[in-house]
Amino acid sequence: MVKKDEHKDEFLRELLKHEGIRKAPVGFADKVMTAIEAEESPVSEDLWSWSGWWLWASITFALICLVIVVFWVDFSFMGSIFEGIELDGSRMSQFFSNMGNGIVGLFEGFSISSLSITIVAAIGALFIVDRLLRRKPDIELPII
Amino acid sequence: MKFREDPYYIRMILSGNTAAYHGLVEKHQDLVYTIVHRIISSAEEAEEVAQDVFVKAYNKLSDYKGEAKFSTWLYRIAYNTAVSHTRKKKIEFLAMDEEVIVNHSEEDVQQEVMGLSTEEQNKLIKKALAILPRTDSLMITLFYYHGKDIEEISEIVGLTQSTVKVKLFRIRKRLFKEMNEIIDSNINTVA
Repeated sequence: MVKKDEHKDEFLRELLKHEGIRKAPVGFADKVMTAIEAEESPVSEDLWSWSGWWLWASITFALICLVIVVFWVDFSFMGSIFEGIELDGSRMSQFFSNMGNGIVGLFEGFSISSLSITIVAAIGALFIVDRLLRRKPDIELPII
Repeated sequence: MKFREDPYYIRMILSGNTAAYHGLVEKHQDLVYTIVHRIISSAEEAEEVAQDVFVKAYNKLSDYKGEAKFSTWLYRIAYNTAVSHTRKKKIEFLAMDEEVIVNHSEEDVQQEVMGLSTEEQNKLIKKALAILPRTDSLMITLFYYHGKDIEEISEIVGLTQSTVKVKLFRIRKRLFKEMNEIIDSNINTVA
């Protein structure tokens, strides 16, 4: 009985030799790799996430605000806005005016010129624009 | 084309060399495609699903612990993906009908098949396999053509080894019956 079964198995093995394997279509592996690469482009996905696009956009915005606040805003207007308002005996106009001047003073204390800040901001902005437009994660960043 | 052992490719991929997956795909693409095509008859759909199988396997590669052979793990993904595709598409998935297992002389069938030309034998086996339920057709080719043992087949299709054994026995019986009927109805009209 066992021998009979073995004989049948051998017979089917021979017969199935003709049917056997189906060849995958030409270029199959390339298509798989393309699908994987398409799935794998995290930059384009991250672009619209908090950790991607929004982060870089926020940094740009913060840099621009910093430059404006430090070099182009005259904080004396704060006095007129809060004129007459007092909190715990302190004049609010004085408080905000001092705070603004304090920020400006902080940067002036380091002797950072407006030109230096503008150059740094421009480089930063270029880097950020590059990050935003970059589609492929494996493209090397230009050396700035 | 000569391929390296699977762990070589896996190590490369996990260390960040995505391109190494190309080699792994080329190595296993034919059998994955065969498994999927046995279950999904449309060649175009089979190609698409086979691609999904490799993408899935790539994404899950870090989960592969090496407990089973990589090929078995991959073929299991192929089998499951193909079966769930047929369920989604509501393709009829025939179960083995006990009634079709009738007594007929397998030895006679064997004799008759051996008397046929190679071309006729090809037509015969193609037709007989096409009549079988798709998973049965897959199991029988895995066992007889690809030389997979009961243990590996059971891992691929997710059945116990004893169930696989019983199923293979019944499928073989059914295959002989189908061949007998095809021969009776004149093989030349079958192609």
